[in-house]
Amino acid sequence: MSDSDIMEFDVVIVGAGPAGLAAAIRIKQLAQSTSTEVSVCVLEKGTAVGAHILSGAVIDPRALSELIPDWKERGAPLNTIAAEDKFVFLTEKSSYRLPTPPQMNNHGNYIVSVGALCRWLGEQAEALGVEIYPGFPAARLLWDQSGSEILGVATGDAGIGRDGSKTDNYQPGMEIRARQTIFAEGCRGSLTKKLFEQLSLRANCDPQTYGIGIKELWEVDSPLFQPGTVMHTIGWPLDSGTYGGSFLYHLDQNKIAVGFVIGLDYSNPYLSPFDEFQRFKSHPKIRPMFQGGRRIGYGARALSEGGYQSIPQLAFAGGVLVGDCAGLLNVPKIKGTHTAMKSGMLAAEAIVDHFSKNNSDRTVSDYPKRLASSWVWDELYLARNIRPSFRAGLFGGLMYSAVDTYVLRGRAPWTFHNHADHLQLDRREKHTPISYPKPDGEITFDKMSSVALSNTNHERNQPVHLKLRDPAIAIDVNLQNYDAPEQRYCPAGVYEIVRNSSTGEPTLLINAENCVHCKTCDIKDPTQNIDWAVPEPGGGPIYPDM
Amino acid sequence: MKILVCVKQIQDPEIAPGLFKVDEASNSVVAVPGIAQVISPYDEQAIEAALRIKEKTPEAKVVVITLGAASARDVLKHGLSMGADEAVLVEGPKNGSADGFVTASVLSEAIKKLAPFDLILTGRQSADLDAGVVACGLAELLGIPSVNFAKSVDVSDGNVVVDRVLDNGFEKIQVQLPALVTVSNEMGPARKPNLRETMKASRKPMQSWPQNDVNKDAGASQELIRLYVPIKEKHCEIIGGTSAGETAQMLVRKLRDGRLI
Repeated sequence: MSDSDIMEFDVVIVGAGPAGLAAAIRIKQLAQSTSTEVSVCVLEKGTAVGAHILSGAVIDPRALSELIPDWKERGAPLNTIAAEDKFVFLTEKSSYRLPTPPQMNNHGNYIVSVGALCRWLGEQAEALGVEIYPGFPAARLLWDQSGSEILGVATGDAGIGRDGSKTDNYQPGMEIRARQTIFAEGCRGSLTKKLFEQLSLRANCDPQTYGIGIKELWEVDSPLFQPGTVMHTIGWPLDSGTYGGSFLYHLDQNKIAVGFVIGLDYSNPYLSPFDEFQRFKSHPKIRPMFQGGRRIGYGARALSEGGYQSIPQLAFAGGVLVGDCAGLLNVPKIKGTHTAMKSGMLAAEAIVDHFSKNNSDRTVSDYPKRLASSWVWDELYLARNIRPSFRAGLFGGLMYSAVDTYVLRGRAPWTFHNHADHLQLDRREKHTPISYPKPDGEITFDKMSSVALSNTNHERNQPVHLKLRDPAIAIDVNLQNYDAPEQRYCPAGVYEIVRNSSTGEPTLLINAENCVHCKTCDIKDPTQNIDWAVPEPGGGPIYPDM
Repeated sequence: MKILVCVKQIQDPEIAPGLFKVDEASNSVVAVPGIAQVISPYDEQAIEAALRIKEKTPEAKVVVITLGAASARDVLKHGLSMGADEAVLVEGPKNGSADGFVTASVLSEAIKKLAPFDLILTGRQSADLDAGVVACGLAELLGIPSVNFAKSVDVSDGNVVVDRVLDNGFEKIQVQLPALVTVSNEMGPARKPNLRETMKASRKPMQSWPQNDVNKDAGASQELIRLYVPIKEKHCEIIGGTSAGETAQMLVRKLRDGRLI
């Protein structure tokens, strides 16, 4: 790379989600109030801000109100106040309303499209002078000579052919160097993963645990539509040993966001999160809401569920972690946008302070301290035992959670530990294949027609961005021992076992063009053989207001 | 040397067809909320053609121009990010929609304000309405020669040399500048914006002209009567018969009855 391919900023932010944009805005606000210049560059892999983001979402506006107190006057897209909370237990044929746990009380919260929220935050940031570059994924970390300090990131090359050679359209990536790099990649960020490995940032915390969320957006035509309604279900179609449930939010303009989240510590290799979600919609309590409606969006994204005990070291030489790549989601609250934004703001405040003191230390150690004394920490600490307690099954978990919430109030003198999700999968012999009902094409759908609605698109002539560390493991371990679970946990049909028509020999086909960037394979592969890397610039889903 | 490239902003043709919606009351396409509109891919290739000329003739200046709403700044920015030098937005059309004649009239007046110019490039047609009439109309109104369906465009000694795509082959045409050339998809894929150019793009000049300043009188010559999404019907019928010969006969009869053969 020649010198001209290097750009320098004070701060580079990886990811234009709520955490990254909140950080960018806060830095500029602080710089303005002290009349200093702090240059901020945000790299975003989606072709537009919001194109890759997906969340329920009901958000707690606490962080937003701290960041931009007059967000209402500025037209933030928080249009639907959460009105009614329903918490429902489903059996195959019936449903029972349960008392709504206090963490799930959504009084004062808003049902939003996080995509729309991010677009708005992006506009606010740009108005303050933040440079946002959508369509340019950060693909590599820039290390100093010793390999212990981060100097910035490099964007990915474009125009590399499937065989790795340069095509006529080859364009090299560019180095973005910065005094501080804020990693705001979201759950299971690909650069964050490398930082964890090289800097041992997870040495003193539990493994991160995850869930996969699959979501659809519907335009409905149903008398049951009631803007502001928030419903969560647990129980059917999952067995009581699998953690998960649905969300169903009535937005404005006859839109319903419906989705299903399953903990990735599930043990049955035959489980298919996608098909569980489709089956859920066929429940007699749920189906009528979608009758006659039109599905207009589909997508999926992993989320962090490890909480307090899985938070890694957050500051290191040259950079910090914010938002869900730091694992700051509050599981019982089912929310992470407010904690993500707050972490971004605190990182911004610590970094601007650090700069103004001309502190030569490349580690902004003040950021984790500020986070630890903020409301984010209180929330996560009090919630820490709820999610792990569900390893005792749905009913054990519910009972423990009730005691923890109402009696102990989160202050139990113990902390449950988390275990890595990929180690929880049983071998195929322990289970029998699940036979899922055929999609009806009206309320339930197959994977391919669903993926089409994610608008995902990748240049075909590029190296496969889902890399197998050892290709033989896909057959020798994954197929042999687990019946190739990637065929089922991938919500986009990327992985497919195909057999040679004459010899019957199996191979794993990776349809990388279908990928919706959810990161589930990177998490759940039983031997951690799959590495998700950013594809060529411009690749990935284009979500409509998800 | 000055190259003008006319571009159009359209609905992203790559998004799921199921999201495409038409408002029949207003005869217009409903933009999908949350999904950004894009540059028409043929026009993107026209910019590519201009940039290839600029690579050989570094003093060439590439100006991207569009008639569109304020949101069309995004496609101009896209052109600048690919490497174009300047951009002009003609804000309009006045009544929200324009036929080919209005577009050509407005663009021709805007282009006269940008004179002198040497070469005008456009896509062979827009990728949404596919009419392909604006370019020829524009050349006619400007009184310059036009060549359509270019596979490659080269400029030398005051001429433009075009490899033109025909139904059954190619032809090479040389025309004196100034001229207009429409670019076909045979040009090959357009370059992607690179980060350096994208970073520069916000500092490159972008002018914005209200349509009224450019052309007050352009009135449509066409009336759009109805815009609708065709309804696709599928029927499946199994042809019976006891032998292959009989089945074939029955199939032929069916096809004839349906006037399919």
